[in-house]
Amino acid sequence: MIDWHHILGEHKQSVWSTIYRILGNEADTADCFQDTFIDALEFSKKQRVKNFGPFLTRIATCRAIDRLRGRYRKPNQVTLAQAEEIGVLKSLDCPAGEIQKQESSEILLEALASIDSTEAEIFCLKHLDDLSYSEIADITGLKENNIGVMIHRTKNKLKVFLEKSEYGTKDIY
Amino acid sequence: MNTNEDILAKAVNDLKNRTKESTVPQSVLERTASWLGVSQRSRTVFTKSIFSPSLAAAIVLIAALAIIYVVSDKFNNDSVAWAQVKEQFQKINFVHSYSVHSNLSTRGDGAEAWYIDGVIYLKENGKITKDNGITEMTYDFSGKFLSQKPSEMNGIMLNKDASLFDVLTQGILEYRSQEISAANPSYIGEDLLIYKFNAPESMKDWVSTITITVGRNSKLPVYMKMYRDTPQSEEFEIYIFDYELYDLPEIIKTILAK
Repeated sequence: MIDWHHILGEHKQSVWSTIYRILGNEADTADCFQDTFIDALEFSKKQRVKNFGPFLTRIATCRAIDRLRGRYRKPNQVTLAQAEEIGVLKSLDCPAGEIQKQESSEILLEALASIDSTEAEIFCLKHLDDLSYSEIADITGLKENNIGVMIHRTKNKLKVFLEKSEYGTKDIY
Repeated sequence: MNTNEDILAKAVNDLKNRTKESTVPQSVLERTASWLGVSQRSRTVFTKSIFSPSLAAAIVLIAALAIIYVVSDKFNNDSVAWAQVKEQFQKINFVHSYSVHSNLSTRGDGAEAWYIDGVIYLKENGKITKDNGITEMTYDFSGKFLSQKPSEMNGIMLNKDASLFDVLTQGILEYRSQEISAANPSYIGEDLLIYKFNAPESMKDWVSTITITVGRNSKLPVYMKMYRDTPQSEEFEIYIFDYELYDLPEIIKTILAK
């Protein structure tokens, strides 16, 4: 029988951090934290889990992104597609120094909530949780090459989103 | 001037740095451990959605019983015999419960629930459902069988071998013993005892306070008030409990016999 108390003790902080960095508040993080472990337990009743670390990280990321999408799913919210459609191009020469710390990360979160959830998930696993391509491949069932392509594509989307926010620049395009 | 690559990298770093000061609160750990414990012992896994205001009346009504059980379990005040309340409550194999809103409307379509020997009967929306924890069977008011489906009560909730109340109290309501032991009777009368409690953690989004009125002689809960956590704090629901088997409607007797 799986020792869930041991697993909880071993992975509590990494799971908490994974969720907290996306959601940024304790109440939402606490909810997702519990859901993550319950989801993992439910899954483990049906299938064997090889490595709980990356597995829990993935569930935590998915849960957090779901919650994030709900947070941004409001009337009149401008998505990336809508922004492109209506051409919401802001000042092109806004210095990056004007970007405030919280604002740039909030914009990134908004972008992650707007793009395809699998792309957001893979991006977070790679860049926020520092999982290797191999670990991501193991827990998602995707090929490493596909993951590389997806991350590259996602980064470009995110950069476009940043660019189209009023804080971004367009220097590299 | 930075490139968008730099801006993206900076945003990523900012998010990564967000967590430096944040650690898992002890209360969240305890609650998660409790959920895992209950879910691991169960054939099915609990989800938190099992206890929310939108739930079917039966679950809310039965959960209301569980709240009383928890209160009686954890509260220790010899002068008002809470231990006897618990003892009496554990003997119960029949409870009839229904709720009334503070605006005097009944819950849903006049929903009522009966807990009889481990089976829940719910009268709601022109139908009767009989749920033994494994299968939920639906009948119309003439007693004609309409349909059946797997129970939404996760199999174990009504299992006689497992304590319904343990499942609800440990897995769903998550009462902390400190909350209960810190409570004092808000009223002691000749006939009634009234206790006031903060809402359990899992209900804090929609309930602010719970008061439970107990018959001093019977040692059984008479009714429970759940105050909604709304700007209009006067809004509440009353859950009424009675223990008289003679009250059973004919249709329930008919279905009971099936």
